[in-house]
Amino acid sequence: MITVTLGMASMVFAVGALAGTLGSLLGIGGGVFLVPFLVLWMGLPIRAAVSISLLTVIATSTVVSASTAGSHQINMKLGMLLEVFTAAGALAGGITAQALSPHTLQLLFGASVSVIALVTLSRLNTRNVILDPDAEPGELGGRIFDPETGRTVTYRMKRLPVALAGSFVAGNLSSLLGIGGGIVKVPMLNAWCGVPVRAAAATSAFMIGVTATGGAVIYYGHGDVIPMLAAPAVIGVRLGGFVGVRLAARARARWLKLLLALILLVVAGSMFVRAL
Amino acid sequence: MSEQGIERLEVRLGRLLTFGSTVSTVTLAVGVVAWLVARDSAIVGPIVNVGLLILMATPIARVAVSVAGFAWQREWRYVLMTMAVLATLAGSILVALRGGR
Repeated sequence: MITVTLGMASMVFAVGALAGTLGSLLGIGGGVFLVPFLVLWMGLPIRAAVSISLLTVIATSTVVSASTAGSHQINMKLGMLLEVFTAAGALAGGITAQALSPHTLQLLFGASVSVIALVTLSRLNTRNVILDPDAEPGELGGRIFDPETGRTVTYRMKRLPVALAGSFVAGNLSSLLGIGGGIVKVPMLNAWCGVPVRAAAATSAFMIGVTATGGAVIYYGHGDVIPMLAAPAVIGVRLGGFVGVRLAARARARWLKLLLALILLVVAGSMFVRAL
Repeated sequence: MSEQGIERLEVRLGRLLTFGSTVSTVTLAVGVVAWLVARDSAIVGPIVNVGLLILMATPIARVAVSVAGFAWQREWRYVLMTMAVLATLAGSILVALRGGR
C-alpha cells in the first residue's frame, strides 16, 4: 500500500484542478490528462491511476451536466440511447482490465489517444449544422444555439449504427484507460454523425458519469483506489470544472478542437515513451 | 415525447446531480481536512470512502430517476433503455462485490 504524503496529495489536487478545467472546457472528463500524470510523474500503478481518474470523471460529468441541464445543449434522447451501449462497454472493459498487464494498458492508452487526435485534426474546419432553424431535426437530432453565428441551428443524426458501436468502444476504453470516453464520443458524434461539437460535448458529458461509474465500482471493489489521493483529485477536478464551464461558453469550436488534438498528441507520445 | 416533458426531466436530473456532487465533495473535503489535522485518525478512512461511494451513487441515482421520469411520461422505449443501463450498472456492482476487498 502506498503511503500518501502531504506533498503527493497537494500535487494531485493541483493537477486535478488543471485536468478539470481542460476537461470541462473540451467536453471530456479530464482523465486523459490525469492518468499519464499519475503514472508518469507520480509513479502510481496504472490501475490505481485509472481508478482515481474514473472517480474524477464522475465528478466532472456531474458538475458539467448539472450546469448545462435545461439549456438545450444536451441531447437527452440520443444520450439515453447511447448510454445503453456505453454502459455495456464499461462493464466489459472493467472485467478485461483486471486481466491485462499494466504494459499492455499503457500501449493501448497511447495508441487509442493517437488515433482520436488524428481524427480530430482532420476535421478542424468542418461544420455540421443546417442553418435553417425550422428544419425538421428528426427523432434523435436537435436544435442548439450557436454563439458563433448568434442563431439557433438544427442538426440531424447521421450513421446511428456508427454511434452505437462507437459508444460501446468508448465505454470499453473508459474502463480500461480511466477516461470518460468523451474523448471518443465527441469526435465521433461530431465527425461522423452530424452532431455540432457543443451538443456532442454536452451530451457526452451527460453520459460519461454513468460510463465511468460502471468501471469505477469494479476498480473500487478490487481495492485499486487510493482514497487519500482520490479525494484531493476529485475536489481539484470539481473546482477546475467550474472554471472550464465558464471558459467553454466563450470559446470557439475550431479553437477547442485544435487544443484537444494537440493535448492528445502530447499525452499519447508520453505514454508510448513510457511503455516502450 | 413532448419537449416540455423532456426539459422538465432534464432540469430535475440536473438538480439531482448538483445535490449528489455537492454532498460527495463536501464529505471528501471534510475527510481531507480531518486527514490534515490528524493524519492517523481512524475516522478519516470511513469519511473519505463514504464520500467516494456517494460520488459513485450519484450517476446510478440519475439513471434510476430517468427510468421513473420516462415511465411517468409513458415513453416505454426510453424506460426500457434506461432500465438496461441500470441493469448493466448492477452487473458492475456484482463484479465489484466479487472482487473481495
